[in-house]
Amino acid sequence: MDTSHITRILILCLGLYSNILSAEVKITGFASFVAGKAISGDEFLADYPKTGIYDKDWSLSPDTSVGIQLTSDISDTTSITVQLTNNGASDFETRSEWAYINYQHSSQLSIQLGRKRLPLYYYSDTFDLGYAYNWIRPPADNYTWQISHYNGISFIYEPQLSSIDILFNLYFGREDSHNNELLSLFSGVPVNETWKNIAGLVSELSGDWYEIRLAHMSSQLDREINNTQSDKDAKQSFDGISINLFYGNFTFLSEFNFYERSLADIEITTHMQSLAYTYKKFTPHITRSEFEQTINSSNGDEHHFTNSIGIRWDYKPNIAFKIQYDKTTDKGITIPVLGDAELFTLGVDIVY
Amino acid sequence: MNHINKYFNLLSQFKSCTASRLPVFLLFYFLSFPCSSGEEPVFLITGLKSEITHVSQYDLRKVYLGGTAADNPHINKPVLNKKDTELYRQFLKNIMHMTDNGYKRKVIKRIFRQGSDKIIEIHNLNELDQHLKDNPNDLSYITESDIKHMLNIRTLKKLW
Repeated sequence: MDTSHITRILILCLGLYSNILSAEVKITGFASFVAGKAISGDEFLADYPKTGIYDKDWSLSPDTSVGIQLTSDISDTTSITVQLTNNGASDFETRSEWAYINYQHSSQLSIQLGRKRLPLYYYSDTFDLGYAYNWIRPPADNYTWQISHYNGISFIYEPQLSSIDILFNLYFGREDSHNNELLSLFSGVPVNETWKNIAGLVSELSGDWYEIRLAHMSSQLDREINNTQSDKDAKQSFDGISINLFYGNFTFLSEFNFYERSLADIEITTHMQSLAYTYKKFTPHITRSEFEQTINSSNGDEHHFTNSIGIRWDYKPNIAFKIQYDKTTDKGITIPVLGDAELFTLGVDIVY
Repeated sequence: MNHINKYFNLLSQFKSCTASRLPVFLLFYFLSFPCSSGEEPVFLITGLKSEITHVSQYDLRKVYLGGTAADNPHINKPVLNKKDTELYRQFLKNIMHMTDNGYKRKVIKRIFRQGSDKIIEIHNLNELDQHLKDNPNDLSYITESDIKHMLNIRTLKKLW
């Protein structure tokens, strides 16, 4: 059953249920309207998963997105959640980011069945929710994966120790991506990608001034390039650690990730560090992110890093304006991305 | 074991970035605690017709983060009393053990990650009183001096 079927079924259930029983459908939403242009270089790849690319002309498409989340309680312990988004990078085609049934087994354990975002990185869950972070977008070099969702089951266990919040998220699933945007862009021909037997665990420990997150995922990969099978049952794994610190007005965010697919001799490290200072409603920030593939037997050498500086203005409790400058250096020779480039973007993020 | 080694490698990268700065950060953190003496008593309240008889500190914190109470099925929704900004900050500090930014960060993540409800915010006492009349199993908090202005509430316990 593909993604659109799952989403349609859940939307139908949600609609029928709310109509027949006059059940309340809770609506929350978000929007990011961002304009930008590459001020040097020909193109700037701002959003890897959706291939949001700026060129020398002003554009609203690469980072603009609008989302709506509908949740309805079926019973005291069961609810349906559907989140639909329109992204400019995907030609404003409506997509389901989340579509799942949630069963609250106890105050500490919940089980979700359906479609969710693949929680590899710290901001994977809220990638499109610009209001949740200081940047225009999460640092692109760190958020480079071609698969960002899965269909399956997840267990969220949240024990609590005094003021320390703990979360374990165990998940299993699969994702079939036909004509994958990122891989097709890089290959120049249609690429179909399947991640199957996905098994992952996310552990989070957080208090008011710190957050520590560990993530592990393993799966098998099938890939077809231009209808020719290039990979079959290739094992891959991802490990990541995020440490965020909040001291008074200072915020320090960091992520370090490692990806391995030994059959293809691919090892990739990505990392990001960001420092921000909040003064009243303004939060200036500086960030560095990097993607580096260990040079392998095929001379694979994708390597790029970005330095960013920007400012966020919390105009209202649910509205934030942002301006950001990014400078990317592309050091890949065998696998260049889009070359060196500088980008200027400004935008507004809203939650409602 | 490979995965454990990877975590240690990743952690060591992080340590090399921050180890020298950590004592300074910790010093700033502990100095940042404000003095809490001289605060007016604050009470946890519910509707006059509420079925709630008690709320543990654990459940209180849990529901204000958008979660479900562990041992009290009657609790409906939490309400933030934002009549007074200082009272709101004290509630976050004394009960949630959080700053305003930390609280917002956690709640918004939970709304969009786990489909939790938004936390209701009310900015004046009359509205809060009416809300608890209409939704008797909701929870909120008010200062001792404000209790006399409320007709449709019952106090559950003194918070601080």
